[in-house]
Amino acid sequence: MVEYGLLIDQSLCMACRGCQVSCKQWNERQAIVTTNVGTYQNPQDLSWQTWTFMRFSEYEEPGGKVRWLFRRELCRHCENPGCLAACPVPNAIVRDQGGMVIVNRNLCGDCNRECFYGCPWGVPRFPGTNNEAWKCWMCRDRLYEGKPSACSSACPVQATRTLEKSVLLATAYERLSIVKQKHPRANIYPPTGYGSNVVWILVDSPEHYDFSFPTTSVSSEGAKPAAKGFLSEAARPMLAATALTAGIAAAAKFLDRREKVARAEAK
Amino acid sequence: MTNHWVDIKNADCIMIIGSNAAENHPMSFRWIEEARKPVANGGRNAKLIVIDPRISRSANQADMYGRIRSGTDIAFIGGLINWALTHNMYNADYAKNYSNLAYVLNGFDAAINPGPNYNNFTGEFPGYNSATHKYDGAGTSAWTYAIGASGPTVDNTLANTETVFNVLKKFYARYTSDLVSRITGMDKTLFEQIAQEYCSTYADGKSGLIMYAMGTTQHTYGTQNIRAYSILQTLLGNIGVAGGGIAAMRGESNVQGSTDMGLLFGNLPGYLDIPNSTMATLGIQTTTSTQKLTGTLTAGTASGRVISGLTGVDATQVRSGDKIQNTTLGGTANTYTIEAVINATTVRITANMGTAWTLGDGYAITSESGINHLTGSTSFLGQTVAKGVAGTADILNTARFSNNWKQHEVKYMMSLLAAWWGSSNSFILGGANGDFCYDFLPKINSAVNYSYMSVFKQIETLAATPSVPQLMMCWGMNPAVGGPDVIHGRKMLANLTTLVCVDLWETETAAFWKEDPANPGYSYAASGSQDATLTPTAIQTTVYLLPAKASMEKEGSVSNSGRWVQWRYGAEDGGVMVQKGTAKSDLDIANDLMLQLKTNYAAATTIAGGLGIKEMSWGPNTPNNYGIQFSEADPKAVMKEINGYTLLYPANIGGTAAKGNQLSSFISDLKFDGTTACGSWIHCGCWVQTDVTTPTGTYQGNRAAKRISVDNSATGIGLYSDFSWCWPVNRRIIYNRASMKPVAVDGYVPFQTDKWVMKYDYVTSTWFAGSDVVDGGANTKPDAYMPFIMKPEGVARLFGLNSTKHVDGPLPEHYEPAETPLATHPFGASHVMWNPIVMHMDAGPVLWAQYNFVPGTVANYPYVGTTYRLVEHWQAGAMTRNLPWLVELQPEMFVEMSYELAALLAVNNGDHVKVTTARNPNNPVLAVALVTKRIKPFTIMGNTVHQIGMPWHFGYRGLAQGTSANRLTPNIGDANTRIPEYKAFLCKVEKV
Repeated sequence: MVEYGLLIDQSLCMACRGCQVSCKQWNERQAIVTTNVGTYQNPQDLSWQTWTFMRFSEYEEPGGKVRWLFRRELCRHCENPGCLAACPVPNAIVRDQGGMVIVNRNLCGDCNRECFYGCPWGVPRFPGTNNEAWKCWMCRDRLYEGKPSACSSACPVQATRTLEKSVLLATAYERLSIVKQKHPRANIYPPTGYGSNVVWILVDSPEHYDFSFPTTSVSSEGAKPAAKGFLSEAARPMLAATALTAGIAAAAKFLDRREKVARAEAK
Repeated sequence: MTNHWVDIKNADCIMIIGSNAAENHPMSFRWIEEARKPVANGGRNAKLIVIDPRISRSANQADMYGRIRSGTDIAFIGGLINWALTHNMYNADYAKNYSNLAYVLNGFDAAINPGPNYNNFTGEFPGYNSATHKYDGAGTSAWTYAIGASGPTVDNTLANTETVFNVLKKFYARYTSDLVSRITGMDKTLFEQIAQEYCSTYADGKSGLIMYAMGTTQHTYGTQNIRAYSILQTLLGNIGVAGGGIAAMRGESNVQGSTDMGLLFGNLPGYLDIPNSTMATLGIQTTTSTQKLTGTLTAGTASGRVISGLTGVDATQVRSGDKIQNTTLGGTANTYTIEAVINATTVRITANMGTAWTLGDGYAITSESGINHLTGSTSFLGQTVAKGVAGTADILNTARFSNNWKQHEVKYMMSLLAAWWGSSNSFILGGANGDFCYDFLPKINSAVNYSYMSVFKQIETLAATPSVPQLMMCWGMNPAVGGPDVIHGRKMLANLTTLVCVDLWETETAAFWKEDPANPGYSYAASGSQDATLTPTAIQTTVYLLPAKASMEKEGSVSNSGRWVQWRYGAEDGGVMVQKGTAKSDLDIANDLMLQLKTNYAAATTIAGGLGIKEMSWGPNTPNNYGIQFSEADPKAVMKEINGYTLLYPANIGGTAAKGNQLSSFISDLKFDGTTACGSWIHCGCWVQTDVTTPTGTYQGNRAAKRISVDNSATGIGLYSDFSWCWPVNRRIIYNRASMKPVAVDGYVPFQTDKWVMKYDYVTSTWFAGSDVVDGGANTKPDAYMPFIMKPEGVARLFGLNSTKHVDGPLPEHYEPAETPLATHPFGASHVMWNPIVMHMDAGPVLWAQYNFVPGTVANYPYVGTTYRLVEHWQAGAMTRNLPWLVELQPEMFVEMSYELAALLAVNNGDHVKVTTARNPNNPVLAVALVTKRIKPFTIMGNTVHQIGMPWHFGYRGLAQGTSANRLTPNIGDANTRIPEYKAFLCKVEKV
């Protein structure tokens, strides 16, 4: 299996949100009840039923030009996934040879939701009733059949594309050079070197985009409030890069716990 | 669309105005983004201009975003026309040859306002009749061409003050950048940058595209908005070329197909005008032909003698009204009329033919020598229009001419009648007056308007006489959400005797009494209160809801905005068509209804008694003499009939002799004499006799099913001529002769060398391979016909001639919406405020009070409101507000407003507000305030004007409920189409 990634060109994206709907359709996720809170954005956050959603923000440039900025939120399928590193159950989260970080549903759930805390963006989410993690799996079933992800397939302007990892960044930079002609501050996010299999082209600096960290919905799912909410977006890719280290630490901690349990059971 | 979706990629500049294509036509952006790619990456580095009151998801993508106050399109486009003319940025080669730019008018300049400019023009064109509020006065004689000995006078030097060029120039000189800015609210510098950018497409080799939708049409001058686009595009040479044209983007997947097939109240299929009650006969002229026939004349000399044993002609092809002419007596030819056809070899004649008369002579058949009165007259500008008829003086055709396909309307009409009644005895016998069942065709009352608002007014009026039963069928239609002034409209539904709704879900219309007045926007609970005027116990209406199949559950065709007729197959599961419950396809429902009607009227003997229903060629038990036994519930059979087929008539009267052969082209195949049946002339050629090759193999002649994804153009412009089929005659870019630049005699070359649509090889006298389908035949030279093929003169009309079909003036003029924030017209107090055909304060107080319209004033309703759609929902919402995944995205009614207005109202983002207009002071729209930087206050004529906008998808049924924005919208509309002015009205916003 070739390794894959997603390129999301926000300069092409019109926020039609076909990706959001096609994700729910293909992955059989249910709609959640929402209200309008003064934005087109809905749902407001990821959840075990919502693996991707479009974030909307408005930015008025110094010259008065107003831009409506869209950014799609979803799992980044890290090369060194913090969730995987944090997971106390062997093989409950694995990084597939195809590049997708996936939850092994048969093994997942015997934990304290470490994956959520291990992820710098708090991507894995849980139903209220147990600790099973749910998140984007880059449509592994489709990719193995040679089809693009559901979100790529639904996009009318090919803003999201499923690409082989080997060409992902090169394609992104080629596209960036075109985007920069219209949007001089366009940039690749996350910056090169942070080992993300999902790459965005943003038309403006990340600071003008919505990278807000989840709080409410996770606590409503029964998890503890996020401790990392204070981290700036600039700091979080760093965290991702060091996630392996952090994950090892977390894993060590829970290995320790498991050993304790094992020892207790052995008695 | 004059072009098609893929062709958008060929544009050098794209202007989206009156549309939010990113939300309502998202796929268009695939091709827009192709055009915007750098040249090095295969694109055209095209610029995207979006004109809209707010930054929509389309405007957000634009290179240049120009904001205008709702309803000021003509001011903006008028400014662009002025820019093009004053900066010499119009394509003179194109406009002189392919438009009426150089045509001399019949005193229009003198009549409108003599002098150097039209600054004193009042907004009422010459011929305006203030009593009738129509352009029916004598002054309209100036709205036409000066006619010389050889046709319209043309002055290619453009010196004559009466040329369209000079009139146009003076007329739009008033639309200065300053004034455009003051009317629309657009920054003047930005306007000039946009004007320069868009008008730069005038150059040879460049093309610009205008994309529009309901933001253009839903105004009291909606038709004029589109006229303005046409004028600009014609001046710039953008019609008929790749990447050009005017893209009328249709709001539903098959609205194109619906209007093609005569959905609108003024149309029959193929945009034939529906006859009105003053058009009692078809009015076909007859002429003589000489077909030999033999037979035996029965003895006697009295009227009513019979010719039997006819040979040489199938008597079933002789129709009453035909003539038999005696030419063997050597003297004066005597002509006798056939009264009736008795059987295949026997006819009865009406007159004494003389005992010595022998057969073996000729009979006359109807012919096309005259134009039927459906076109309004037999002449154009006093000259007979019919082309190709010997001895006909035809000034237009001798100088320059087009195929003028409108002149063949009689062929199209006769073929339509044959499709509908061709198998009936009445048709075989020629029908009354030899009109071939034209008398069966329902006529509209010429004194009655059949538009939506008029129908609802009629319901209200007729409610006074409840003895008249009233039936309404709402077929995929939800007026309780979608109509203007919807609270009033909904109450009108209670006056109906019977209401039949055909839909996928229970719509608000099917539950029109169920909105809870105590909780507007929601259905009442069983214990809740009810609207006093809509109490179920007081309503006598019987309501039926027929469950309809969704598009995936049925087979048939869908026509997209690019006129591509695309065949689709119903979804199958294990070889069985997917079927949910008892839902039926629309076609099945129509078929059931018609077959029942035929049963009900089986004994009819008169037209008033339903003879036309009894005799209609529909269903398996019709007395079909032609071997064509369609079951109309089969979509393939319907498509075949829409395409057309030959009736069983012999070759000697022009038929093909074959029985039921599919026709291949309206140009060559349709006949005026009742020998061809065709359900829609523009579709002739969609299902031909010969097999069609598709990727899945050879297929019975259904060209709409073709799916060959090969771009057959020579220059990569994406014609894809073998992917589906498009009308007319699979021409992908209409008016494509206009893409050829006349540089010399026999020297036409494409205006655009790198993306040509048509190119002619003068060596072989054929069009180069990879050309589109040209009008007039593959071997015709570029100058064989003029490109604008529906007009006798063959050129585009920058200046609109007087016409009974078009009620507005000859040039688009800026008028204010029916509800305007201005006290006087921007052109001065002596200029009328509104489109004078629609609204005037002199008729005590408003003519359109007939539709219950009373305008709100700016004192009470200070803000400009508009309505629109979202990508997440669809039309009146039944299709999407019942789908959880879409409801999740847009769960609630909201109103978008600027931070400035929100501050004025002390409203915070996310607060609840109520919106009212003169229609609904006590029944507000309740919505979440969405405060945004994407809307800013306008400065209009020196004053601040706030604009708000909101979606109109919501209603009180389904999963996502809310008050309909159409509580606000006025029941007044366009002068021609009567589409309501949904896009601009005055309103008030208050914090709840």
